[in-house]
Amino acid sequence: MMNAVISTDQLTMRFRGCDALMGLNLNVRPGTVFALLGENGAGKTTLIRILTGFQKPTSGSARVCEFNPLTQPLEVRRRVGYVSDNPTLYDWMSVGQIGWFTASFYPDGFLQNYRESILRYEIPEDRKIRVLSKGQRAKVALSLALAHDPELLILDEPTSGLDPMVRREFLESMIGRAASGRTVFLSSHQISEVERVADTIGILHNGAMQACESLNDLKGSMTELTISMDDSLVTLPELPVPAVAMLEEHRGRQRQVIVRNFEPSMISAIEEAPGVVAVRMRSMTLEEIFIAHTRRGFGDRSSPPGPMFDLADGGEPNGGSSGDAVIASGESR
Amino acid sequence: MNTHAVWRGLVWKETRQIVPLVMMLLAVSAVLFLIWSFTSRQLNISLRAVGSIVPLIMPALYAAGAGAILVSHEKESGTWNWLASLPVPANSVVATKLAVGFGGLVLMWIGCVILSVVTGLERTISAGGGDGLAQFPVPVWIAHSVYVLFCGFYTAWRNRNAFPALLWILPLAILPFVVCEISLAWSGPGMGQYVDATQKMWRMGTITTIAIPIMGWFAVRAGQRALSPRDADILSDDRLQSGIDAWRPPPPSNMVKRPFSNDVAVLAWQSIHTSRWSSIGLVSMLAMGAIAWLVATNSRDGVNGLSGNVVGVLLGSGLLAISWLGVFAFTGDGAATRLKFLADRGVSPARVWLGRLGFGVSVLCSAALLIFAWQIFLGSPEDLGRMDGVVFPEMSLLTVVSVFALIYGVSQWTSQVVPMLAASAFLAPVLSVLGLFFLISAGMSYGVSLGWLIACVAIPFVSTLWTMGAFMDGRRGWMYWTITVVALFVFVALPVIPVAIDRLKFPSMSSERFAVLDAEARGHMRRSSLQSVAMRQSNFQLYDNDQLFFEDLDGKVAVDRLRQRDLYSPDSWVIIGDDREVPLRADEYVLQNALQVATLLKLQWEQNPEDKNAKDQFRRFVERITHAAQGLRLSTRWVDQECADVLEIWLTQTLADESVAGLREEPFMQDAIEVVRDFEGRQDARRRALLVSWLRDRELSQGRPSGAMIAGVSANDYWFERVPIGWRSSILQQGMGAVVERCLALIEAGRKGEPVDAELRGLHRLLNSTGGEFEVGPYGERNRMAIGPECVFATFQNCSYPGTQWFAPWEETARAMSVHRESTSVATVPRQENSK
Amino acid sequence: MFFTVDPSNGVAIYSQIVRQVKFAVAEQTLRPGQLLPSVRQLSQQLAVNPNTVARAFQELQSEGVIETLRGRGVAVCKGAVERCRKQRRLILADRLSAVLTEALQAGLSSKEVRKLVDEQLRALEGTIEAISELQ
Repeated sequence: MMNAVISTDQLTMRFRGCDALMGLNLNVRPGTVFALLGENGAGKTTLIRILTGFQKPTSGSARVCEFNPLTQPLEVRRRVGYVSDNPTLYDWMSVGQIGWFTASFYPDGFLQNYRESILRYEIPEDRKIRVLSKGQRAKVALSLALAHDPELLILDEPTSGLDPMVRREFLESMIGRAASGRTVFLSSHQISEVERVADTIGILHNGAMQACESLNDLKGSMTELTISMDDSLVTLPELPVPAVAMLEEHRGRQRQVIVRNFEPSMISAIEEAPGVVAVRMRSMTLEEIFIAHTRRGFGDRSSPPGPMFDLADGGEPNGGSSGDAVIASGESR
Repeated sequence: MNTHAVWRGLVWKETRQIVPLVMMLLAVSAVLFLIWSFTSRQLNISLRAVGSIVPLIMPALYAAGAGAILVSHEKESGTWNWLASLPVPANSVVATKLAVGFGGLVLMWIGCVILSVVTGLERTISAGGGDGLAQFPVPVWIAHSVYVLFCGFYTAWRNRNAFPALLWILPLAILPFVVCEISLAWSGPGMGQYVDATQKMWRMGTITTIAIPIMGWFAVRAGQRALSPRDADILSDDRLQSGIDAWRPPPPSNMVKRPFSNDVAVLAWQSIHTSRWSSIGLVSMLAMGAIAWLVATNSRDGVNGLSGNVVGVLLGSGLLAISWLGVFAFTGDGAATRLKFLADRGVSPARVWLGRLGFGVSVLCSAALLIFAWQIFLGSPEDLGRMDGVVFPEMSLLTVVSVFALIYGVSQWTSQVVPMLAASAFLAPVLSVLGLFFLISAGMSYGVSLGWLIACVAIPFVSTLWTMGAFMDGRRGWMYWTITVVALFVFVALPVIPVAIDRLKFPSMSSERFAVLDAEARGHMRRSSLQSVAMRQSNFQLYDNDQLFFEDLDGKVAVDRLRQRDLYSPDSWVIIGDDREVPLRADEYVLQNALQVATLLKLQWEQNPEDKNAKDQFRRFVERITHAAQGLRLSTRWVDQECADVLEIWLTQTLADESVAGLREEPFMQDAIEVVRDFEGRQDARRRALLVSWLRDRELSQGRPSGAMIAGVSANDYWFERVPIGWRSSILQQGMGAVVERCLALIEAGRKGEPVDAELRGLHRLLNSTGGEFEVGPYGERNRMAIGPECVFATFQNCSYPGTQWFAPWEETARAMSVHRESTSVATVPRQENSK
Repeated sequence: MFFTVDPSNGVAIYSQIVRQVKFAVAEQTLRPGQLLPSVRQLSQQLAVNPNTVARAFQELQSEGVIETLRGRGVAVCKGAVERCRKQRRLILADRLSAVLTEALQAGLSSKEVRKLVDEQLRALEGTIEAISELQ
């Protein structure tokens, strides 16, 4: 097995007044598309800044393409292409000039690739960046990031606010990279795109990875059960092992439980429990899974259910799903 | 990665970014140089001093701005982060920026040197010496500008925003001066002793040269740190509760409980809190400037040496703070892009304008009131003579407020027109000082009244208010630029209007008369071609020629020598040669003494009518004076005619005096009567002298730049003293023509015997410098001599004004004198009634 | 051949691809010996992760629907048609079972369910005839 393209070890980042990352361990294998999901302010951009060598973490370490971004940032940047949302390019340069300028920092061939890419996107080379539309600007930034054929492409919400055509272009680029055996690290809110293109999903919440598994495993592992009770005060029955209840909500006589590792055969067992009238199950979409992971009380078995008020605070994340990375096996090429 | 390509790419980029600043500053320098070279002919001392500073200041401004443009601008626009994500070594970026900045500085210096050589400024600067800023020669300034360049980069890399970075340059730039002064005070001579200028220069030079690599190292380090991973914030461990935490007050809630009810107030709040430290910094600079002003205007002992420099620097920084308050108004949160937030929400442009300017205006008003209140508290001394030690005189509240308003107004105008902060932060102080000088010279040298100047001060505010709507929407179309350009034009043109009006109203000779009189004058000049002779006294000195002045002269020798002089002979007092046909040049001092001695001799004779000697002495004097009067009449200078009038007045007085009636039949008295009764000859002589003086003055001043006086031939400078000095010299010729015209009219009227009062009043209006009443002026009744029992002794005090004694009563008296060999009595004609 | 994927309909993307290929072979839209697009091409066409497409191909290969031809790519196997029709039947049976379970759980009796099924069949009669002709 090849070495991980990105690996972090107990990465911690503390800012004044907030803990962005707490003991994060992450491994991204080469040739995969890793999608990082998280709320705004969960620490995604901080993580990316640490990986690209912009920020020094409070503690812990990271390795990107087998280099330490703190001590050898230049080596890291030579092998990485980075596109952020709303890229700030030099407004006064033209499309061609910025390509020429950037090419001086990379080996030969950069300019050639860049110009081909620009041609494909149908952006005139003599136009000033200042007058480009948002989508064209994003395409220019993407071209600049890909022209040196980087091992790792890091995208930080690159398509926020762009039209579906441009998003499709970005998607195709990512797929092209993955098909060529390169790695893509994507941080995005466009769950529908993530579902198409990701191999591995990581959910970052409260400074830690709440989930880090392959897409199929994550989707398949979560089920939403709606249980109708005959009395609103009766508590829910214990779920048969190995199913684990992650989050509970009740409304009147109905309980909605998000269960992990649920088998359809367990339905009959639950139906026979006292007080249960009916059970319905539904597999969850990735978006719903993500939202559930970021809800308060997710995975905390000690906290009582209740949607109206929270008796406990955020609580510790479930020990099983955070901290160490869980890479599902079976994902081979 | 090709190293050569890296350098090429980076250098190209940095150069493209810095070129606009260099071009702009050079263009402004060129404009300033042109203005300087056009106005320096006026011998305006203060302008000269300012002009010599300009080529030194421009590179310093560039040095301070280079960091802002190359670094702060990139940080603010975010391209810095993008550049950092590329595999470009930090050292390359830092080195390229510093190198390009340095290259631009070299360009600026070369440009300024060329400009100053072209306009002839370098003679003033290379001399060095002098006070204040010009005391250091050019190499020290070059070193200092390099130092400031590094300071600028250092502060730009250390600060996130451009504004605080610019502010921080100031104390760093002043540091070498402070160190120099301190070191001199420490190790140099004691208090009160003069510090050698050369020594100071060398010390300053060495300090600056040492400071350059230090600051350079700081700058490089700051740049490298800016490109390296940012450090994690050091956070206090929450679990560690020390005892003191219990005493700490709970953190205040950041949210204001209720929003402001007034939208202008909330806009003002926003403009203060955008960058709290900048606001504090500017206000404190202004406060220190105000204190420095109070010290300068009230300190009796004057401010010299170290404290003088401190006061000067604080005053300068206070003025700079005013200008930057103005720049503050429309940059940062006041920039068009940010104001769009308000425009989208329908806030009216007028209220936004008020909100943005409110902070600055209120700070300035407070400063002005502070100064005013403190002045009242300190009071002014009753005896103005005791204000000798004070550097500046106190200025009224209106003046202080106007100066503030002008600097603030021009700065906020500049910041609205020029969107880039770094550019407007440097352009604004330059332009506001320019505007200040423009208006001050308009007011003081050109006599523009205060109302016009205040209207000018209001123009920048009107312009920004008018364009506020377009500015907020980010529309800079032709409408915006039209308004701005028109306002600029009005600002420059407005003070010119009253000046132009006054100049047009200034009286002059009409062109037809000019042609006629010119021809006549040339005729006279051709005919009177004799060289005139000057008059002199004999040498009254008692010392030997080779004796030194402070050696005492022996008293006996002195008395002997004195006795040798014949003090009653006209040859001692007025030597004019023997030729009666030669025109003379008057010397008022000589003539005055001669008249006094003659009067003395007259009195001596009166006391001893039988004394032959006395009569002889008197006779000789009268003859000499008569000769002098005749000679002066031949002259073609009008001042000689006036002096001749005085002599003739004296002669008439003497002739009419009862006490010398006995001598009236003597030939010398008869000759005198012949001279004084020649009415027509006198008028001809006057006319001729007037015309030829006028012609000669015009011809002689052809080659001279301004209408310079030529020792009594031309119009006297103080004739037109009520005309402001700015345009006084340009109307001297015109004025002389008007005077000649009026005098000729006076002669015509007097010849015909008409009342001359109107012409006299006309001359008074034209010439009287003090602008007083006609009756007390040189042409008034009191001044015009009449011969009578109470007549005063004639003096030469009014010989600088033509025509004061023309057709005064004495002329009638003189004309009426008759020449006959029998004894007659001359009736003392009572004073003629002049029609008033 | 046009494939479509819907990432959010609850079924894994690779399963959707597998199902679509099987159905296509069963209806003979894809004939034996016909070449399928490569992993890379298909992933770009569908805008999905190539690993997903690879996994789908792997499953199809392990079930004998497609085979790799050296140097030319991936093609449909000879005997795949019958296999796919059987698979198709199984898949449809699964889906029917899910619908019936839902109906029974809702409280309908089996007689009511059968009535519903007949109604629906009758309503669809005539419109889907064309397809059944292909059999």
